[in-house]
Amino acid sequence: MVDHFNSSDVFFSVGGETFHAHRALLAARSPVFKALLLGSDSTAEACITLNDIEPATFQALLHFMYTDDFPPGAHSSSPDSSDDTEMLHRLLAAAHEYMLDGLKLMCARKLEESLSVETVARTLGYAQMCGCSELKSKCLDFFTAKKNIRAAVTEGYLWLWHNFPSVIQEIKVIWALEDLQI
Amino acid sequence: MSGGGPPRKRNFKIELFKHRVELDPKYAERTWKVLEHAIHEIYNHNASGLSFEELYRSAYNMVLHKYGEKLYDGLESTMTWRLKEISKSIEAAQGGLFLEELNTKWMDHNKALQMIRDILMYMDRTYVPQSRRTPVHELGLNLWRDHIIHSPMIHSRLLDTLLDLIHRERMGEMINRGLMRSITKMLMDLGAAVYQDDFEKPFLEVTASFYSGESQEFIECCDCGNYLKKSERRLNEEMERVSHYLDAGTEAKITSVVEKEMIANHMHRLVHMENSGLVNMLVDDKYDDLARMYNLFRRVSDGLSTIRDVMTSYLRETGKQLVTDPERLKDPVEFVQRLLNEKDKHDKIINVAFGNDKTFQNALNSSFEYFINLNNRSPEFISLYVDDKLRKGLKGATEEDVEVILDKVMMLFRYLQEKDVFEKYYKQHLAKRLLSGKTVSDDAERSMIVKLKTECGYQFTSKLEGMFTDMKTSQDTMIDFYAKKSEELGDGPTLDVHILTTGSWPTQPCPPCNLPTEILTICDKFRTYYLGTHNGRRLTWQTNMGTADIKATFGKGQKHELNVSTYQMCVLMLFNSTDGLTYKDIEQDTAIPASDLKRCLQSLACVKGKNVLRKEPMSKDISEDDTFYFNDKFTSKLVKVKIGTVVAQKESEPEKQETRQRVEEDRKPQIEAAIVRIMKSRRVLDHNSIVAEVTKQLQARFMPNPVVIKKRIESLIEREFLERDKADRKLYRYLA
Repeated sequence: MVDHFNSSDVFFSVGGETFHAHRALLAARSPVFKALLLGSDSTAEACITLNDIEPATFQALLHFMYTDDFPPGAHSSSPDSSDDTEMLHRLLAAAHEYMLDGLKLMCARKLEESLSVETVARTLGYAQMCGCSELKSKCLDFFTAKKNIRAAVTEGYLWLWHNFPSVIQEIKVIWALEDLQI
Repeated sequence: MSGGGPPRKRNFKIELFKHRVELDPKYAERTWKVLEHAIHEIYNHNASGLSFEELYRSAYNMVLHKYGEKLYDGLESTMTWRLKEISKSIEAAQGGLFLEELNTKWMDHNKALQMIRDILMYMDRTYVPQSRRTPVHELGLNLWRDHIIHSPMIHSRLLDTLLDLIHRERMGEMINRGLMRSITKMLMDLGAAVYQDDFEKPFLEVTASFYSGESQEFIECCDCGNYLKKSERRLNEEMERVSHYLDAGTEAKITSVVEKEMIANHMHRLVHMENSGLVNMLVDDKYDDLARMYNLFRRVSDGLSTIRDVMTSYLRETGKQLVTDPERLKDPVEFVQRLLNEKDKHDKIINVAFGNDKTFQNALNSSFEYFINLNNRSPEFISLYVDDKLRKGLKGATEEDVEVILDKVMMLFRYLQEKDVFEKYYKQHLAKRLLSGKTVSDDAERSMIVKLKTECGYQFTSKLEGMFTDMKTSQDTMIDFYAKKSEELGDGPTLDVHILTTGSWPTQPCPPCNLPTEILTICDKFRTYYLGTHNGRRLTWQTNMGTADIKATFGKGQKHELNVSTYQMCVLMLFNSTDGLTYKDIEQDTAIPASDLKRCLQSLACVKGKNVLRKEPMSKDISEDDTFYFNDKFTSKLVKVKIGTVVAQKESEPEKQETRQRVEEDRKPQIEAAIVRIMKSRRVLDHNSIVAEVTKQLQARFMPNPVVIKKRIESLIEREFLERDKADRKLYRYLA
């Protein structure tokens, strides 16, 4: 349906790309889109520009709203593909912003499955930002497991250190506890 | 970070920018300023130039980066500032424009609130619940309430304006109902407490004093019917007002105010109003007014019971007058007809105007029961009424008509407390009807018996049915008699005998009179025949109940057939051998008792058109010195002349006393039987309980007199059916 030009009554301009959609469906799936498209402050404009979101992310968002699923080929067979992980991070953030709880859950689960030493720090940060408590606790467990100590020297950890000091505190507390146990 | 692969396009700047937690407070302030500006633009009706998406994101970012509190506080103070400005503009509105301005600004505020809530959606869903602050929409309403509605300059002016408009509408002016609706809806949206405290309560108070005044005015100048019409109109008006522009919850409250002021406070004055009150309405069958009164009064407590009580005492009073008015009592049939008419009239009123209300039906019934029994001749009169109907009144009536009339009579019958008295009279009257053959319809007679049986049980009607059986059996007997004995009888007078079983018929002891010889002969022949086939029975001729058809030839040869009583026949036959006889002669020859003889002679000699005898002197009354002559000059247009006196009529005073005495005598054994029945099952019982139980058992037939019950108990004690308890004189014991 996303690709149907017929009967669509709005299109979005995202990062130079154009996407067609149906107001009623988007409004039914997300309160933010509802306010944007049908609310009293809505615009009757046929074309709406969205800044601050990547075309690929928006496409996945739309696809979810129409089908309740990830776009085909959005995840490769190798669980360690950090491209996919990045995509999931962005998708998670977008789902949070546009209040698509179903999509949030799906992204969180996918991220849980594909935790790796390289990605866990960033994932932890996104979990914190988007209020995904289960994902967050899985990340913490992963992070503080002894064999994953190398996670502490990734770029992601640095990013985490800059932006989420409260989470760093939590990690330190866990490490301290573990030290005591030894 | 992954290695290898082509460099990806990644908008670092945006990402880091977006997700940095330690946001520059200056950035936060800038973001807030954007939002603040948007809020102002929205209130200035410039929303079209705004981008929802951007504003949403701005608010989202602020909250994400922990600036929720700043955002919320900013919202609150900005909105407050705007509302204060709005308040000034409303206050400045002149006269009639005040309400409109208020309404317009309210609409604007709601619209703005909606937009703002959409923009701040993320804050509403995350920061607000977490910090337990009031959600945006509710906040907007509360601020409106506090700074507009409760602003001192506006608060009282608003209430006064609303009340003034309502008052004007009550006085007949047209007001803008749509605007009113909008305002009251606004108050409800702000909370039921606001609607009630700032409008409804004062509204109800003002309404109460308005109607208090108006009702006072009306009641001074209107009659009852008109007052009720006006009240009804006002009540409907108030309900309509609620449906148009007040909250539905007000309806019950306002109607109870109107009901109290206009109806409840003036109830008694209305009902008793001279010339137009309840009694007048009842008398004049004013169905509409009565229905209106019923419907209005049922809304207030004690309303219907007030109507009912006044109606009951009116009925009782009127009824009492009816049954004790000597004029009315002269004609029993008229008397009963009048009762039936009254019943019909009030049945119709209760049906049409009072919705067949059962409590009113009951009041009607108890009133009738009360006054019908005030006159102890009611049972007799009702029986006479039925007698009149069955004798001639129902001639030509359809089966349905008959049923209707008899059912109505049964209704009166039910009210009688002395049903046994009725039974006695009914028997007498029925006997006369049967024996004189003067009944309009056999089916109607039977129908009446069935109704009495249904009402009172088999006991009541078994003897009556016996009377019908006797009539039929007699018919068969006569057919057989003539079949067997016709040769023997030859040319003598024809006999038609009704054989009456003693127990069933109300026979009085009858001294035999001297029958003419021709009659005696055939009577004896019949007696022989009958006793031949019915062993062990005794036959007694009831000469006071018979009739005879006589062929008489007068002076100029005119022949007439006279229908007379047996006594009259005996007297007339004497004149076959002589032309003139003194009273004393007749008395001796016929042996008829004096009072009967006098009555008999009176109808033969003193009634115009029926005077087959001539009396000297020509006075109206019979004296023992009179002489009687066969009246040669008798003429009549009819060939068949009826002179019989065997018609049921109102009893004379001495007759009445006699009947009453017999009734009292009959009651004694019934009371005793009841006492014995009760004591046998209860064994020991105190005096008062016995009286109560006996009354309960017998009240279907009559109301036993406690004094009589006491006497019967004493008699039973004497005859050793009961004994008094040694210790307690009030206690009785059954002796087996």
